[in-house]
Amino acid sequence: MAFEILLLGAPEGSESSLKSFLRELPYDFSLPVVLVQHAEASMVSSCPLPVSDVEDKTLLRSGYLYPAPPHYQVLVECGHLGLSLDEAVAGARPSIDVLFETAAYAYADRALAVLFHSSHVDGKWGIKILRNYGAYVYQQGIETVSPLVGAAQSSILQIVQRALEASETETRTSLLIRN
Amino acid sequence: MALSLEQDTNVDFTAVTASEGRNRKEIEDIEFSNLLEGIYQRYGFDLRELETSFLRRRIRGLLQRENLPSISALQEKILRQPKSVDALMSNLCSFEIGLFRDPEFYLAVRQRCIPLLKTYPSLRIWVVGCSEGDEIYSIAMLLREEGLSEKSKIYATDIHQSAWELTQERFLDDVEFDSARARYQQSGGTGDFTRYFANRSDLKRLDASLLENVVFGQHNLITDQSFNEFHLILCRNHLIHFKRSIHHRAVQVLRNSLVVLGFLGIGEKETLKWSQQEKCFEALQPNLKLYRRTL
Repeated sequence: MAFEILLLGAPEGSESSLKSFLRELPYDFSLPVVLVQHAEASMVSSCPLPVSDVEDKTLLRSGYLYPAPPHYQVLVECGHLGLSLDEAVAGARPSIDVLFETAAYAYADRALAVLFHSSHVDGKWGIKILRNYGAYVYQQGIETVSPLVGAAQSSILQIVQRALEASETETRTSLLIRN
Repeated sequence: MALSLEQDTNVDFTAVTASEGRNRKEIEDIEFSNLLEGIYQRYGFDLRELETSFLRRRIRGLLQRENLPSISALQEKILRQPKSVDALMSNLCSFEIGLFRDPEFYLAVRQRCIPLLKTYPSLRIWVVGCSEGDEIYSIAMLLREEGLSEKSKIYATDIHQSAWELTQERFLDDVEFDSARARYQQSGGTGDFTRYFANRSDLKRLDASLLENVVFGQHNLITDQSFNEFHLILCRNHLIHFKRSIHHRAVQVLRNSLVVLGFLGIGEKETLKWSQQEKCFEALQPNLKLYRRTL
């Protein structure tokens, strides 16, 4: 089954990796991209993808970037984004854990997620939830053993692109069994 | 493979294959819809039209707190123990809103709506989805400062009675107090913010006398009808919890509950554009979610 959504979690301190990732994203990227970042300064202007303002029940379209609005939790529903005044998680609203958890419920193995490296705790629990639902996750800074991905020498974008190719050639299972 | 979902740090999370993950989702989706159906049949609370992601998170929290292994186990408990459904419903009414959330909204209410509301002999105001009461307290303070308390009645509703209990016991911690006072001033507050607390030496608990003109009722925008005609409706950050497919129905109830030229306030990131009723409203100010019913 092919991936249908890319989730990006950028905790405090990961701004420069996020920025270079966004800059490299191809303008015709094949999935909707949902971003939760802690930093107040927006990084999205460097991204070639069209940016969509996230309102309540915003429909997800491939090739668009959806940055979470401040002071709300962003909840992923199948095909659209919901918002809530649910309390802060890991001190954050929007929180990456909330994004990842709800994406796990809505998309399970059709979700692809990247957590950028940071000492902040937000996102680390959400990554585990996504894994429990068969999603493909890449946590920057955590070395993984996977011959298909070859994380060590690749940029994050290359890892994401290889995961997308693998999903099309049915080799994904071998890519996913890893710790 | 256990189908539970623990946040407990002792639990060993393991990556699963795509098909294992898919199976987990399929099974939990069935358990989830059975739970909602069970709650509806047993207790009459209709949660089936609420956003799935919102409910799933709250239910996961409940599973952890009650140390239950699956949604089915929670269903078993809820069907047999009415107290458990109250705990769930109470949890669903609880949000972190904050007094005078979006101060510019309250400033616009003060500057644009109040002068017109003053022309009515009596006022009916509806706070929809009152949660822990922050919107009730905010509008009650505003009405008091504008000399409208005496002729106003505030109707507060939520999907469960527990919201009213939370409202009557609204405490603020120091951080909340400071940020609330700042927003109060930005919203055009004209008085001393500390006088709205029960005890001047201990600025924690909001003064319950602000609730004198408030009546509470249990009401669900999706299953219940309009019950009165209001001059002002505050339905802020409540529509976000309903499914997209029935959004129009909720907006219709709001419209039917407003006098012509009555005011409607919704949340900063909410929109009327998914509803055909949008044409019945006119925005008072661009970029502000404050509308007037024109049709």
